[in-house]
Amino acid sequence: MEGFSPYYDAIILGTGLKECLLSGLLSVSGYKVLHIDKNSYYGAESASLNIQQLYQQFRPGMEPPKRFGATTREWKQWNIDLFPKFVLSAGALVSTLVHTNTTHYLNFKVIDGSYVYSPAKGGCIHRVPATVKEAIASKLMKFGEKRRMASLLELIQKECDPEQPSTRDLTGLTMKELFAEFSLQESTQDFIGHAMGLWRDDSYLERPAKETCDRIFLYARSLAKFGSSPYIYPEYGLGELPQGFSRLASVFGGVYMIRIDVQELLYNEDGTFRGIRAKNDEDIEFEAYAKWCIGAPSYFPREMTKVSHSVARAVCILDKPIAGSDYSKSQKDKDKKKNPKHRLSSLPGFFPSCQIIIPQKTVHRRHDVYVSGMGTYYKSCPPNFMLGYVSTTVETDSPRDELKPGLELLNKSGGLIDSFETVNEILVGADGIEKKSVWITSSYDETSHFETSISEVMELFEKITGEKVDLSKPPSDPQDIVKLVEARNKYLLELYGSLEAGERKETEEDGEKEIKEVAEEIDQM
Amino acid sequence: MSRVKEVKLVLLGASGCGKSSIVLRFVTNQFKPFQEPTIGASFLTKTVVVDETAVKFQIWDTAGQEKYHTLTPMYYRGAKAAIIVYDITRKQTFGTVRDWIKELRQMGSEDTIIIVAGNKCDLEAQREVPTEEAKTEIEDCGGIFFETSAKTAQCINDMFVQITHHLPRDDHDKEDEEEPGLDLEEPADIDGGGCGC
Repeated sequence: MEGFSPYYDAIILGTGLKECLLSGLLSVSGYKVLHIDKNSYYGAESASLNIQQLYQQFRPGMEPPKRFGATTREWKQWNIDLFPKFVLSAGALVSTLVHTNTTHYLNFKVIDGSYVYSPAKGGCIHRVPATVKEAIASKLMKFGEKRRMASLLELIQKECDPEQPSTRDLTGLTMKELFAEFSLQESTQDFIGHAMGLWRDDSYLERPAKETCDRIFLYARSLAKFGSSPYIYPEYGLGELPQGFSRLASVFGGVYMIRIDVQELLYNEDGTFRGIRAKNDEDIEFEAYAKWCIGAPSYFPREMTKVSHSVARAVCILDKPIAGSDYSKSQKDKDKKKNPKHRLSSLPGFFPSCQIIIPQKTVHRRHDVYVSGMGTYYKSCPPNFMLGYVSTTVETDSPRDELKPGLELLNKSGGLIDSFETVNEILVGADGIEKKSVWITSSYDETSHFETSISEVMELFEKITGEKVDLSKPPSDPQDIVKLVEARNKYLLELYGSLEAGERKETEEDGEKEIKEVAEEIDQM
Repeated sequence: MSRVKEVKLVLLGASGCGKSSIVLRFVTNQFKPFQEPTIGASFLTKTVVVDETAVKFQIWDTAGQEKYHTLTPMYYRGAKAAIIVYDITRKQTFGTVRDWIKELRQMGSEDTIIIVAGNKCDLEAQREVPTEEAKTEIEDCGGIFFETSAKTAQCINDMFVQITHHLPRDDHDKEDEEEPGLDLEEPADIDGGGCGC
């Protein structure tokens, strides 16, 4: 291939969100990245599909029904995620977008409501109160209990705010003990731990209270940011996120190739990663070399990964709003005051979006069932339709049945037209593969947000480079990054040039030193 | 003067045709004879005033993603105009123009304005693509044709001004439909309605 440089710091396989974010972070730190995908599109598992692609994947050979659209242009009005997630407004993904200056590639909108399911009165959903005021006004619990819950929230607000002096150590006691201190009923505990702490099972009760309190604080801060709900979502679907980060990587010298068949992973004699042998879509074979290899599980032999657990998911198409998710007039006015730009899903044919948690105990399970819905406001589908998602951790041998409580909730209004179900193993890298300088990102989990994904990427970045990403720092000046990239390119050429002459060690040390000097120079400016 | 109209414009075309040089000439009125392959800029902006209307161009460069045909759908999304650049001294770069038009029609919106720029027209002696032939072909495809030189600045400003003439008239009702995205950099102010009240 003409002009193709085969030498890199990292070869990244798969263009899912985690891989693209890692590419972006490595590139803005001056590392040279070759990023490859076997598909003809970006995003891998985290791509957003149009309706035709959804049918191709789930029902090969079948065209979508005419009412979902008859032309390519109409099919493209659908942007369907394969795993449902939202973005917490005050969470780590938002900090990452701001830190890397990637926010201007994406248009985020707030989700209309966050709810919790209650089996009372034949089953209905309630808005999650996350502020003291909302808790007091909520019909979820009795007055005395509300006061007790409000006191706990006040304590959390005081203790978890990094800008306020801490007066109490919340790591020394378990969450169970903290709940007991406030004499909260079990139903309230469930509510706080699951609907606000976003824990999926009850193991948190035995863990340090600080963990849960921090999560509740994050939830409350996210809710305070744009009103309505703690969640935001990008127009055109989650597939925009990997695209945004891949552009970030490209802008700083990252090389992207898709439609690539990776034929072999190459290793040095000492077992460390050396490079890849691959073929492009014109059948041209090539090799590329790097110090590090990072990729999604599907690019590696089975023995390099292990199964953590399984997740069942359903993507649903609805033609009616989800029962109980309607926006009350008072809520609308309140949210409008908080965020005047948010015109809600009030246009005709725009159904309100929501996130609903079905707590485990209410449906006799050990893990919560997560349900969400989104519509035309997010450019997810054409007017008068909405997408519904159900997901949960698999506990039994008939995982599809485990989705039922969620599907029933979606169909309470009679609007569920179709559903596409999957059961996926969550794969993680096997122990010890880092010794090969290979890192495998895990499959996307069943959490409703990206917090775990982002912390995984940050940990990987630190393990690989030995550097920490400081999200509180403003984005670096592009000119400075370009200087780093140039120094790095020069070094890579020298390193690999001398490698053949058997002088690897010396050059590697000298090169690293030189790059450090450039980095220090930039820091001092 | 009415308010500023924002226009997203994307660049397309084979590597080394001078896409970045055209932007650099338009935005900063500079030219670098040995421009490195593009790194470091997510997009550049420049505002021009034509007939009392201010148009702010938000110009997206390919960041090298054209080389292996890995431009994302996001790149094309919302583009009001696209400049497809070829090099008049390399015939094969004109050959790819048709593919880019096809890709743009597929990925972009139906009404994206297409401009084709035959760049490096200062190198007349090395010309491989005849002007008239190119002009006819491009206009048949519904594109607007220019020959430019980022080096001498020939036709660069004219080309951008021409784009402003093809933009749809301000339609306020339509404008209202597009709600701006949230400002993520806004600090989370918990006291304004969070736990503390």
